[in-house]
Amino acid sequence: MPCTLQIGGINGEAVTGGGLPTQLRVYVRRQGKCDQVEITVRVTQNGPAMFTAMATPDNNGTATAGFIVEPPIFACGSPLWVEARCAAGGECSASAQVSIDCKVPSDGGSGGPNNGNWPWPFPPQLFCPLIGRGFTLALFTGIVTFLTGVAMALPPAIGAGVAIVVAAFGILAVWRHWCAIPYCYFWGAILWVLKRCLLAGAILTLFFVSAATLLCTLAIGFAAGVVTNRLRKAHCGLPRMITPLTQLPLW
Amino acid sequence: MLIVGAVFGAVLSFFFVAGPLVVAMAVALAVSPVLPIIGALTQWQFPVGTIGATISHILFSLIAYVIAALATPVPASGAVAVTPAGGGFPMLWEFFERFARGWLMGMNAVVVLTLPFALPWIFSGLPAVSLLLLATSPLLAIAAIFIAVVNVIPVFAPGVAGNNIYAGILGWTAWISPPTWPATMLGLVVCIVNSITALFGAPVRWVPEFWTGSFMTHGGILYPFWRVPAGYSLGNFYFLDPRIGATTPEFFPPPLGGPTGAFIGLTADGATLHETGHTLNVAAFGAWFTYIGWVHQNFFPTGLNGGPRAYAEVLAEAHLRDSTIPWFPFWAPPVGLAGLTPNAPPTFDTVTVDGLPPGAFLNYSAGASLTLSGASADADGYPAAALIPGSPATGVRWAFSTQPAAAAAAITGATTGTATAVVPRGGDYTLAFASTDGAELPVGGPLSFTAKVVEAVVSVPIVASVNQSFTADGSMSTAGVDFAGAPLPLTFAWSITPPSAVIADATLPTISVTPTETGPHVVTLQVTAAGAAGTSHTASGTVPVS
Repeated sequence: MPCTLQIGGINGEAVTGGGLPTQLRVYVRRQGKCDQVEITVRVTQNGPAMFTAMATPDNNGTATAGFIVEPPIFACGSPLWVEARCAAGGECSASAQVSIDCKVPSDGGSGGPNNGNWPWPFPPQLFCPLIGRGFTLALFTGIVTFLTGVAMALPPAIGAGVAIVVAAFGILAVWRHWCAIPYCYFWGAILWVLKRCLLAGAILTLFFVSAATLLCTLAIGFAAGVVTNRLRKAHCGLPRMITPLTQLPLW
Repeated sequence: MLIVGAVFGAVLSFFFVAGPLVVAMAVALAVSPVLPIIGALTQWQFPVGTIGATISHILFSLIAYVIAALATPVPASGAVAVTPAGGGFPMLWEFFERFARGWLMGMNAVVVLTLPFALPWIFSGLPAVSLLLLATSPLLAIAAIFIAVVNVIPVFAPGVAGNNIYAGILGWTAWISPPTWPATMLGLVVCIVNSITALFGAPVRWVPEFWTGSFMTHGGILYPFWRVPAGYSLGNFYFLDPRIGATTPEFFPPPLGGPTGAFIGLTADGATLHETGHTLNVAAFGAWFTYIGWVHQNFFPTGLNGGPRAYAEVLAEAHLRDSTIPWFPFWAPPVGLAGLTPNAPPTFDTVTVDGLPPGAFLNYSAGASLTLSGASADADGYPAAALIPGSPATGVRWAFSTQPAAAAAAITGATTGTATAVVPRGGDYTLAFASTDGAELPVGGPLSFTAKVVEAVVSVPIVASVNQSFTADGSMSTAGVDFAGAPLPLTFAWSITPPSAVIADATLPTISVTPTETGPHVVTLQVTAAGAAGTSHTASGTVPVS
C-alpha cells in the first residue's frame, strides 16, 4: 500500500488565562508504510521553520509531535503551516494550513464541537478517529453476530446482533455530533464493513447451509453495491476489503 | 407489447419449462432422502422432465432471441433509435422487439419460481444438505416470488431497467435465480480453473464488482488465445484475457493485431462495465439467452446483425457505450453517463519525441536514446475514472509498431507519460503512442512517429597478413528506406589505424586494405545518411595483422 500522509490538525494545550496555548501538539495521519514522520511547523508557507521534530506513528497510524510555545504568542484559531514528510520506510509528504484547535478536556460542563469545551479525554485529533473506528467495529460486529444468529437459528444471537448494530448507530451519533466526518470517509467505512460482512456471510452460508443467511448475504452485497455507486458518484476512493481497520481513513 | 410478450412467455414457461422442471425435481427430491444413491442418479442422469424442460427453455429462448435480433435495426455505432416513453407511437420493429424481450422476461420470471425446488434439487446428491434446504422452502418461495417480481418490473416500467439500484437488486438476486445457473455454474468452474493457474505463477487478478454482484477474473488460461483479446461472461462471473491491460492500452503485433499490428483500447477495468451488462442480461433473460447471444456474436461476425451488433452484445454495451460500437438503451451505467450520452473517447494532449511533434522527420544514429513525452485527457472521465475514483482518467502506452527485424528496441516506462526508448540497430522504426479511457482509443487511433536510424556495420577478416590486402565490408550499413522502399543513399568514410595501411578508395561501401606492418589494425567506418540531417554513425573492426 503506498504511503500517504495527511495533516490531522494542531491542538493547543495548557492554555493560559489569556486564552493562549503554551503547548502545541501536531497530529499527522499515516496510511500505508511509513516508519517515521518529520513534522515541521511554520507561521506561513514560505516562512522559516519554527519547530521540527521526528515522530513515530502509533498503531492507529497517528504521528504526533508536541512543541512548547513560551511565551505564548498564538491564539486559539490562529493558522499555522504544517509540513509532514515520511523520513523512513516510505516516500510521501503532505502540507496544509491548519488552525489551532483549543479543545481540552472540560471540567464536566457541556461542550460542543466548535467551542473550547471538549468533554472527551482526548483531543479531537485522537478522539475522532477513535470513535470512528469504534462505530465501524461495532457495526461490523453487530452484523456478523446477526448473521451468525441467522445461520445457527439462534434468536439470542440475532437479538444481540441487532442490539450491537443499534449501539453502533449510537456511537455514530456521537461521532457525527463531535466530529466533522468527511462524506467519503463515512461511506467508505460503511462499505468496508459491508464488504467484510459479505465475506463473513458467504462463509457462514456455506458452513451452516443456511438459506436465510444466503439471502441476508445477498442483501448485504446489494447494499455494498449501492454504497459503492454512492462513493463513485462523489468521486470518493473505494476502500478495499483487505485494508486493515487502522488504515481506514476515519478522522 | 412488452406485457403481451411477458404473458405469452410466462404461459409457455408454466406449461413447458417451469412446470415440468418442478415435477421432475420434486420426484428427485422425494426419492433422494430415502434412497440417496438413486436420488443422485436421477438427478445427474437428467430425468426426462428436466431434459424436456431444458430443451423447451432453450428453444423458446432461441425463438424469442431471433425475433428480437432480426427485428432490431442496429446502427454501426451509437444508440439504437428507440421510441422514448411517451414519445409517440412505436416503430413497427419495436413491436417485435418488445414482444420478444417481454417474452424472455416473462418466461424467465416463471422459471425463477422453481427456486424452492431447484436449490434443494441441486444438492440432492447430498441428502443432508438437500433436506436442510428443503426445510427452508417457504423462505425460498418468498425469495423466488420477490425475484420474479423484480424480473418483470421492466415489463411494466421499462425505464426502471436503467436505474442502478434496480440493476443492483437484479444482479445480486441472479446468484439464486435458477435460470442463471447454467451460466453461473460454468462460470464458477472456469473461475476455479483460472484461479488455480495462479498457484503456478500465472498472473491472475480477482476484482468483485459490487454494483451488480459480478466477479471478475483477469488472467488465467481459459481465454480465446487465437484471436484479439476480449472478455466473456458466464452468469455472475466474467473473465478477461490476461493480454488486456488492467488500465493501459496494449499493442498487439502482427498477425494477432492485423498486418501492421494494433492497439486495443479496452482495458480490464473498462470492460467491467460491458460485462456487468451481460450479468444483467443473464439475470433478466436467463443463461440460454447469453449462450445464444455468444453464438450469434461469434458465428455470425458480419451478417444477420451478428458480431458486435448481436442483440445480447448491444444490450450489454449499454453500460460501457463505446462511441464506435452500437448499444441498445435498456440498461444504463451507474455513474458518468446520463440519458443517451455515449462515451467520449480520450484525446491527446502534447505528444512529442525529443520535443518534436508527430509527422516530424526523426533521424538518429544506432544506439541513440529518445525521450518520449505524451499526455492525454478524457473529457467525461468515463469509464476508468468513474469506475475507480481517484484513478487516472486515461492510461497510455508507447510501443514500437514497426522496427528492424533484429532490433529488439526497448522502451523504459512505456506506460508512463515520460518514457525513454533506445533504437539499437539501423533501419526504420515506427513509434506509436496510444491512450485509452478504459473503453476506447482516441478518434483517429494512436499517434505515430517515424524514425530513420543510421547504423554503420563493418565486417573484417579475423586475421590478415602484412603486405597482403584484405577486404573491409561496410555494405551492410543502413539508414532505412525511402518512401518508395529503396534503401536511403549513404556516404562512406573509412579510416584505419595505424595510418600506414593503404586504402584503395575510402568512400566505397567495400574497401581493400593493405597493411604494411604487423600488429592490430583498427578499421573505422563512418556512415552518413543522405537527406537525414547528416546523421552519421561510426563502427570499427580490429584485424590482427601478422
